[in-house]
Amino acid sequence: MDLPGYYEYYCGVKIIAGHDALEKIPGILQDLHARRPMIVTDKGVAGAGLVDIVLQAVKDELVIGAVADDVPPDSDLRVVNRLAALYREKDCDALIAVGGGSVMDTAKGINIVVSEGADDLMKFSGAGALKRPLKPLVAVPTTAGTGSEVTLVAVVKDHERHLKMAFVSYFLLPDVSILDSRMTLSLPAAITAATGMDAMTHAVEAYYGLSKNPLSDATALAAIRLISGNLVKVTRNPSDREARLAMANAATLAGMAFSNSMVGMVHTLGHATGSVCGVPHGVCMAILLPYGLEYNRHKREAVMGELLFPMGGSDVFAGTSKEHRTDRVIAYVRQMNQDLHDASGGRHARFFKEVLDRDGKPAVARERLPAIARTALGDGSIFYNPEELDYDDFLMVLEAAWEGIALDPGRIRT
Amino acid sequence: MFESQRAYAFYSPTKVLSGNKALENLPVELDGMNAVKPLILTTPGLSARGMEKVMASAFGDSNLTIGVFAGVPPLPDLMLVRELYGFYRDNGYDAIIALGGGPVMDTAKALNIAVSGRPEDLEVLAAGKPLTKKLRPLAAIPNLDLSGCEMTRYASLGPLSLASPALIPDLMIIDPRTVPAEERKTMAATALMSMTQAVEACLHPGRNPLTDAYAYGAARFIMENILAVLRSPSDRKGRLALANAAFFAQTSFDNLAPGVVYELGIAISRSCQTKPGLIMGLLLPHFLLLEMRKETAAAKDLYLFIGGPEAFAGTAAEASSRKALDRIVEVLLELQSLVTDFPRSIRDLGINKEDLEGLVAQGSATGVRGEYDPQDIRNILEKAWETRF
Repeated sequence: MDLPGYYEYYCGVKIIAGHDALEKIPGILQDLHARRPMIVTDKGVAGAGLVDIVLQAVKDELVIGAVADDVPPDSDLRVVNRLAALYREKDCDALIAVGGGSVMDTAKGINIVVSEGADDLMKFSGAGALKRPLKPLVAVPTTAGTGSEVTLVAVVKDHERHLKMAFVSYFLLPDVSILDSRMTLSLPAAITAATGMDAMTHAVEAYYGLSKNPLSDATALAAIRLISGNLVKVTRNPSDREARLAMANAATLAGMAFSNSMVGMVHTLGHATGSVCGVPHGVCMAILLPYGLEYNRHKREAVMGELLFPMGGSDVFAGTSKEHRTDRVIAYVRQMNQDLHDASGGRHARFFKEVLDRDGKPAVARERLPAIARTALGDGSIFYNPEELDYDDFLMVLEAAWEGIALDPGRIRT
Repeated sequence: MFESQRAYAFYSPTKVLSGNKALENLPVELDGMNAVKPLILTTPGLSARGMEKVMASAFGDSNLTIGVFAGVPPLPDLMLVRELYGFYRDNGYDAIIALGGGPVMDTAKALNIAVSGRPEDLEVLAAGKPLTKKLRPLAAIPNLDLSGCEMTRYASLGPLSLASPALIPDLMIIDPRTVPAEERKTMAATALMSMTQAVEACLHPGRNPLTDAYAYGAARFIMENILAVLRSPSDRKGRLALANAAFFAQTSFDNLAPGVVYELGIAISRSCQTKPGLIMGLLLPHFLLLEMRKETAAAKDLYLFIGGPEAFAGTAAEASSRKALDRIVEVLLELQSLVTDFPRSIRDLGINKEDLEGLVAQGSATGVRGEYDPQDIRNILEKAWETRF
């Protein structure tokens, strides 16, 4: 295990996991001196009956001040302010965020407004602007992927002023994250697959990235082991509770790893593809991960080879010589996408040309690739990528990922 | 490994800063917690080694005003904490920096309870009532002379046993300048304490993916560095790895109930002047022999922690737990050859055979895990008494 010359690591979120972890919420809030939480969620989560499960789990011991179940997928400042007003009106003293990334971001935004009495959220954007702890926030993730239950970032859009405000502070971390298998049990196969590969990408990029440290390594290895053993299995059999809980654990571990180590080009290109073509983040991650490995391998061959152990297990690892391990790792990730494609009845896309939009039309037209490559150039996540990329490099990777072919080694920078 | 599916809770609220010039970042970190006037606690011994000066130079152009109390004794008591309470209050300090392990950290945790509320809160907590006040910022700067509880929720002060998650330090700084080489015996004891905590975390029935991750990091760093550092104490990177390992091991330990080797090691050290880590080192092989016979999955995984992926994957599953034991015994023997007057058995510590029954009772009483019957504990103790490594 490598000890870098310098590193920092922090994840002060208390993790509570289990098949009946939700039942612990009343005791947790009591420890945090809160009595009247507001639940923040969205229509999809509520419609799937997940809020009812939460309410049922806490009903005997907790008064819920308000349930705000209308966070839109594209949440913004108006939603944050409206829900902050509801929080105050209902005299709440804590937040329970039940949902995915947008719900978490919105809850973090509400928390800044109600804790700081802020009327202009902008004052608190950027690093270091928050100076003291906020109201208690309990995160209940309903997908196993983003890791936002353990990250310290929130993005709130201001649609009126066309702004995207980023908030970065340890005070934005949830106090507690609840990993309960019931919250992901009804997740459809394709979303399970894509979000699971999002978590895989967090862990893999954290592990081979330039800013890795022993704790990001250990959490990444644990995440990869759990994902390798459970993601295909749960995509085949969505009601497997054990595999659901394993994936919830994995996503959180991967979230700890990448938020303390940083990600790289897979995220850079994923962000760009998401913003230009509206492709869901997890889908981009799944498609691009093999290319991150291929593009960077000449810089990180030995480190990447180590991933074969958590991916393939002891026998495969021991039976593969060191110089062939990275090949096997890349092949393993591609095979995983293939297996997820098969397990989801073809809905898990393996390459960009397979990605369909809501109307069933191709979501990534080939002629949009240059626009994606240009957008990628402005993304800060490339900073910790082992090898550099310019516009031509981005485009080369995108073209291969669109077609679903391996990178031409002769065209990779050395 | 990493596959446990039991319900669990895990909490590690410490921010780690490890490596070159880590100390220089402490003022900014304290500022982020609204603290500008910390009180440094340390021992006369560390002070004489110039540690305060290292700190002062690292804080050179920051806005910190620092106070120093360099008189923490080996066995701090409530009277000292009351005295420091007055000193802290009178001078308007707003945070505590604990420079050093063991008694320094115990004093710092106890003082933090007092200054964040009232000194009486110490007795309240010792009586088992939870703390209601949020504590002031606490930064730990550990070295390689550790008790095993510095980064945990535990502290002891004379007769008072304190336990609360609020006692866990907010910050931990591992800087080459504040992790100097200690006597070989001291570093061996600290590393064996960490090893015991990591091994018992791996074998613990309540293990979870996070305690596994921390215990794995601890075990890897110890096995890769312990002998190198003992052979050549000037191995700066190795020392930092051992300090990191201590934190990882303590964190996994803190999130599980203490194991039987740990408990017995602490109990035995009370009756002799030997560091608990050395005693745990003598008990560990006998405990592992017992675990091996159970043929649990955890016992097989242990070799991954001890030997690393390459060695683990190259070993047949049925030979795995044996290999782990062999490696640990090898390290123990090597340490004994490197450290003068390293005890060879617990008999060497002046423990009489008839004292063992009392320890069996203690070990069973502390058997939070419940799966060790007195016969198992007697077995471990008798072997560790008879066998000379």
